[in-house]
Amino acid sequence: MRNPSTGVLGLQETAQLIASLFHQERSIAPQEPDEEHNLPEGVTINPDISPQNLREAKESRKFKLITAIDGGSSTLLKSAGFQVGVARAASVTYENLKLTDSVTTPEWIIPSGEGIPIDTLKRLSDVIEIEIDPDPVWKGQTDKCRQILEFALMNDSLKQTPNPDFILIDGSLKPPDSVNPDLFNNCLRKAHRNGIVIMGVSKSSSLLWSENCPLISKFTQMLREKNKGGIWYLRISDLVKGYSPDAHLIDIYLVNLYNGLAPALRLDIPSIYRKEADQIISGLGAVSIDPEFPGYPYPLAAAHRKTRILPPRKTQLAQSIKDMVISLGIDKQILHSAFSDYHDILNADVPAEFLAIENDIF
Amino acid sequence: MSNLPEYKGRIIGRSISEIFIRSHPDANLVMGEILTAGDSNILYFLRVVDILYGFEAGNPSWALNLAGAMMEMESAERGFQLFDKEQRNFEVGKCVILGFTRDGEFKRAKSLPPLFSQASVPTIEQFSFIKKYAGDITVGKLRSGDEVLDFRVGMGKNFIPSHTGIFATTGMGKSNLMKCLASSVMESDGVGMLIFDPHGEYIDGGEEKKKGLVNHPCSYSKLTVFSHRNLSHTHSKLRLNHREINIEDLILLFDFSQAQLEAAYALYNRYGADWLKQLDELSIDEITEEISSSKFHETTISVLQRRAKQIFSQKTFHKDEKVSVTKKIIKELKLGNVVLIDLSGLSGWRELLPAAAIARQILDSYHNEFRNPGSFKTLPNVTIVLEEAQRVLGQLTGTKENIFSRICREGRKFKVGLTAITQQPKLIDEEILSQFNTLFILGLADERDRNILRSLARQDIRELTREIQMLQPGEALISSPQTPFAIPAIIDLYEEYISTQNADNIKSKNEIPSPDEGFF
Ligand SMILES: Nc1ncnc2c1ncn2[C@@H]1O[C@H](COP(=O)(O)OP(=O)(O)O)[C@@H](O)[C@H]1O
Ligand SMILES: [Mg+2]
Repeated sequence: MRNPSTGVLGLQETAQLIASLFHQERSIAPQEPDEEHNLPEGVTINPDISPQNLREAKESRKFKLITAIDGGSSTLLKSAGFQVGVARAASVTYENLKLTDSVTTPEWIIPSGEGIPIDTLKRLSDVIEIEIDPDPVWKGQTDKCRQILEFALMNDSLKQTPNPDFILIDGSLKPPDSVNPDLFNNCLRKAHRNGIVIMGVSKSSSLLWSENCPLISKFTQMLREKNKGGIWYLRISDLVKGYSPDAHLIDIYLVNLYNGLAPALRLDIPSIYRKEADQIISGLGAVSIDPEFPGYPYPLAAAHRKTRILPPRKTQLAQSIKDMVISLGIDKQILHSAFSDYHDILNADVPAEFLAIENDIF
Repeated sequence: MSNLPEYKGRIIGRSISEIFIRSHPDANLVMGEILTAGDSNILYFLRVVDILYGFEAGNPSWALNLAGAMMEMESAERGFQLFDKEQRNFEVGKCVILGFTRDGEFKRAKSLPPLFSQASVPTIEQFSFIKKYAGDITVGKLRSGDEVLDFRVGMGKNFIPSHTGIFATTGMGKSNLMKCLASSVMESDGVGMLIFDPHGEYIDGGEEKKKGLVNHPCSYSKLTVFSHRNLSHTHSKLRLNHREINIEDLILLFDFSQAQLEAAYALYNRYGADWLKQLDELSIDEITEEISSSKFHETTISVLQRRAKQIFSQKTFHKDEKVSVTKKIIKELKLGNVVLIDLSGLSGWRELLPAAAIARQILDSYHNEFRNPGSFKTLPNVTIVLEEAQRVLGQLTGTKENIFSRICREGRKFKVGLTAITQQPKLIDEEILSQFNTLFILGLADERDRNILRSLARQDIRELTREIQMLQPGEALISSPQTPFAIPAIIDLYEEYISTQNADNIKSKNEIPSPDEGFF
């Protein structure tokens, strides 16, 4: 090296670059339904998003019964040739801010890998009685299963008596990858007929303001300029030409349910409720006042905590699988060699809580 | 209705000396309450000795962050709502195992109740083992936390000679407890009790709305009152003579120089039991003459003489050896009665000198009876009640023993016990403190006072210092050799208690069992 040096290089340049990204001009968002940005059918992002369209949700209607659904998934074992994941989902129901019902699905163990027959989806479809499309892609099996389990719970929630006012789904409101969109859309229509508003609440959004600037940052900037407490929302989507508002066509909003304290969220609401957005969003704000999660709907937080699969449970499940394989005659050492990662030994000096960051918990 | 016992939480561990329970969302734990865990085969008894905040969050700053968010949200217009409060924050009780029962028999625990077992409020039947330990001189009812249970508790007559301590900060109920003890002694046979009352509060309560021992239905036959002043209640004059005063008593009460002490002993050698009378009556010259074998300075003698004159200026003390009520006092005690000596209005040595003189003669009398095992066996146990006991039972290093500390050390053998009342147990000599076998511990505000009890390391007192701090007036812990753990009690309020008592129901309470009962 020409100029061997310790220290950090490129700090200043990087900081300058990042700062400049926040000043980028609006560039037109993708027009088509888009996998990457979780855009459902018929939806397009507005090219012009401006602070003039920022609305405050003031009109409050009381929503009594709220069901929230979330799923949890995690990788248990990973080798070069195959991997094993686990998925489950939970739903919780709150009536007048009190927990009245809670359902957790079994934990599904999902093996996957190139050429490994994908039969978990099939077995899943038998149990949950929902038709699942055969899926030739083995990657992301665990996530697909999680989505299907969430969908199954959503489907069940529609049959609850009395009907919930809201069903909150973690993430965007679109059909799971392996489910026929018609099935999903029928669900949304049925919900509408029964007076149930199904909503998707995303903690993070990949939508963009410009090529490199997240839309959420721009929204936050607009709120800061308003500098006024309350519940704020901004519809950022419209329907593609030829579509008109319907129960299965989704509007996308950015919302801040507790200005000053809260994160910006992406909210997916069937476009048929466009005129009631104000009431619906303020109703959601009414359950987003828990001091542990200001600005986040508490029932969804509770569903998340019910369903997440924590490291001790992962270790337990992984061990059970290994024990069974060994009991089938595979040598312990051979089995271990498949999963061992020398990083574990290199990092054995680091306290577990530092490594936990890598152990994403969904 | 379900017939499950009301359950207050589940055991979550941690060791045999420290058990924690997570409280049921609907339950509130109470400091000091007793809970059971286990099954009908082995039923563990736990006492709540501390109550902590509990939350499931693994992050220790969870509550800290939430409290901050709450305040921030309060100042925003929408406020906050803590959802699922019961699941997210709850109480954790720290408990100690008192022991367990099996087949109704209470034993020290050497094993753990199962993890996660339900901790419940005991039923009255489950508590029935306590009967055995309740004692026959009862002063109140069993208490579990704030709950009063229908069991009378107190101390055993047979522990009277092994000394009793009543410890409490002013206002916590010492005097009330003492009245209850005395009334229980009046209601039973076989125990004599001598009470020195420096505040005049035991006779008739001493103030409006309060009642005293003369208001007790048994007082006519069981109570004798002596006083140095005129009382409106039946009483005898307190009279003692010079022969009853001993050098030992004076050493306790006055600061004597070495020379003064030697002079006093010289007088005693010369005049025997009449020394104090002679000291009062003879002139300084005469005295120095009479005890000239050893040389004493005139001022030494004159200091002594001034003391003698002070003593005889008290109406209580006479120089006529035929005047004395001590014999009568001892007789009453040996009949198993209560003797109350009103010393109110007197202070310092004026109060303590008669007490010391009488106490010493009681010990001597029992000591003499001891030589005759036949009659000694039939004598009732006797206890001498002393208020502000720290005055005479303080650190003894360097000082000579006094009659009260001697009773603590030797009285037990001769059936003579001391009941020491104090608000500052820390001032009592530790060795003497360890002689008190029965302790009535009421609320103690001072940490050093609680710690001194802790150092006794008796039973579970060590774990109870927090509870002792929180005791309300009248709430007590009773620790005695017969009980497997310190029994929580609520002492009767004397005035209420006697309003429900009359001679008839007391009689039936103490009914002698019919002769054939237990005969075979
Ligand atoms: N067992 C009790 N039950 C209810 N109140 C009590 C009880 N013992 C004491 N008290 C209350 O506390 C007050 C002080 O009691 P007292 O016996 O005079 O305390 P101490 O002698 O320790 O100063 C009483 O006047 C009474 O009101
Ligand atoms: Mg008092």
